[in-house]
Amino acid sequence: MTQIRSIIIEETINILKDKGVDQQTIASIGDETAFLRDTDMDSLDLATLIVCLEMRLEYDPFCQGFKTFNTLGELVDLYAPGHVKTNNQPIA
Amino acid sequence: MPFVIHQAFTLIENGHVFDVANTASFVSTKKLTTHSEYCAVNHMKYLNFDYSKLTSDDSIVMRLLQLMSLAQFNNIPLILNRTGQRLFCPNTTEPQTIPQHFCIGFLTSGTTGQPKLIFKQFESLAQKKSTHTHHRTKRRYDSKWLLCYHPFSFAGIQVILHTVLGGETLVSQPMYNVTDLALAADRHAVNGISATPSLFKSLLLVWGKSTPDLSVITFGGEVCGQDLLSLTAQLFPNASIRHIYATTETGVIMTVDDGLAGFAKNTLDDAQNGWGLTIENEQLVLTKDTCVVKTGDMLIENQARYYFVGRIDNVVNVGGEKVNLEAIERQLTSLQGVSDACVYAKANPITGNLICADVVLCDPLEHAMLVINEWKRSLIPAQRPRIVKPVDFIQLSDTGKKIRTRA
Repeated sequence: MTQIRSIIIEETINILKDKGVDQQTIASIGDETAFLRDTDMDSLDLATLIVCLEMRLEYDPFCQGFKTFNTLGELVDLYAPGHVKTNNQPIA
Repeated sequence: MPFVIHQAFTLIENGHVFDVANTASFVSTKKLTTHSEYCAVNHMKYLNFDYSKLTSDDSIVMRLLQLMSLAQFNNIPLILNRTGQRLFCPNTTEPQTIPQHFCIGFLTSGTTGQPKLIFKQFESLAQKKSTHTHHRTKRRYDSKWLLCYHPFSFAGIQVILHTVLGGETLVSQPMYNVTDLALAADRHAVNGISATPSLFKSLLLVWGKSTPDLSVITFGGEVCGQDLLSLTAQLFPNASIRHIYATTETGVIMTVDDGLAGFAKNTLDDAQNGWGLTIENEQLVLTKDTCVVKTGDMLIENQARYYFVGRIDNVVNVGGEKVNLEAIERQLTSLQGVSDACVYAKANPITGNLICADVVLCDPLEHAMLVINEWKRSLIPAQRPRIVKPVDFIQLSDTGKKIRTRA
C-alpha cells in the first residue's frame, strides 16, 4: 500500500512540476490534499494522473464504473489490496 | 471468365520464386468440396479464406490466386476473411444471403464495430491499365512491386491483380514486420511501391540513407501530407509519385499526381469513376444513382484546393472540446527532432478522452522533449498530448494504418 501511495504522490508531483507549481505546494502533497481544491490541477490534469497510474500500475480502478474521490488518500484507497488487477493478479 | 492470365508474371513469396505462365497453373484437379476453404451454409456456397489460420510459411498470395480461379470456375464467391471472424450464424432467423456467383468478399477496416462483409465484382477490382500507366519509368515487364498492403484488403488485391494481370513481378512477404519488408525491397531490387503514408515513413526509417531505386510510388489509405510528398520527391527524384483516394465501398475515386497534397477544387465538378462528389458538414460524400456513401473523411478548403484533414472517427471529445488527432499529429511530426509520431486518444472516466502521443525521435531525447514541450504550450489544454512516449517505431494496424483510439 505504501508503495502505491508513493507512486501516486510521485506522479502527482510530476504533473504539478510540469504546470510550474511552486515548491511549497509540492512539498505539502499528502493524503489530505484535495486535488481540485488544494492544487492548480484541473480535470485534464486529473485525467492525466489516472492514465499515468493505469499505465504504470497496469490497473484501472474505474473499469467497472467511475468511483468518486476528492483527496489523494481516497485515490490511494481505490488502489488498495483486494482490488483485482486488470490481468487478474491482485496488486499485493 | 474475367480472371485470366494472358501474360506470364512472377511472384516472389517469402523468397520463393513462382514463374506463372497462364491461368492453367492455378486449376486444381481436386473436387471443390475437398478444399478446406469450401463452405456450404444454409444453401450458400462460398470459399472462406481464413487469414487467422495461416502462418508465415504459407504462400498466401499463391493460394489466393488458386482460390480465385477455383471460385470463378465454380461460380461462387471467394471471401477474404482477414480477421478470421465468424461470417454467418446458422441458427439466426435473419435472412442471410450472399451473391450466388463469382465475386470477391472483403471485410471493411471499419473503426467501430465488427468489420462488415462487402462484395465486389472481379472486373471492378482489376484496374484499367490507363490509371496505372508508368510515366517516365521502366517498361512494364521490368516492373517489380513490393506488396505493402494486407493481401486481403481492397488495396492489397488491387496491387496483386495489377501485377498478375499486367505480367509484372510481385514481391510478397506476408506477415511482415517493417524491417523484413524494407530488406525484401533491397534484396529483390523492387522499383514500385504502393503503401500507406505511415508504412512508407516506417520503410524510410529502416532504409536510412540507402534507399532502393524506386520508379513508382503510390500512396493510399490515409491522408497524404505535403511534407511526405515533398520528402519523397527529394529522396526519389526519378520516381513517379501519386496519391490515391479510394474507399472499399466505392473503389478508386481519384488519383492525384501533381505532387501536391489534397486535390484541385474543380475535381468536384465532374463525376469521378461514376461517383459524384459533394461536401456536407465538412465531410466528403459520394453519390452514384441512389447510393450515397458518407465517407467520414473531412476536408478543408484552401485557395484552389481541398485538403483532407482526417477522419471524423479521429476527432475525439476531450472534456467537452473536440480535438482532431490527425491535425495535432501533423503539427507534432513537423517539429524539429521528431521523425514520426502517432497521436492517439486514451479513454478515461474523467474527461472521456486524453490525448497521448508516441514519438520517434531523430534528435537526443532531452533536446527533442524541450521542443515538444514548447510546442505543447501553444495548444489549448484539451489538445495537448499529456503523455508523450519515445518509441523506436510506430505500431501500425494490419492494414498499415496508425492506431488512434485505445481503450
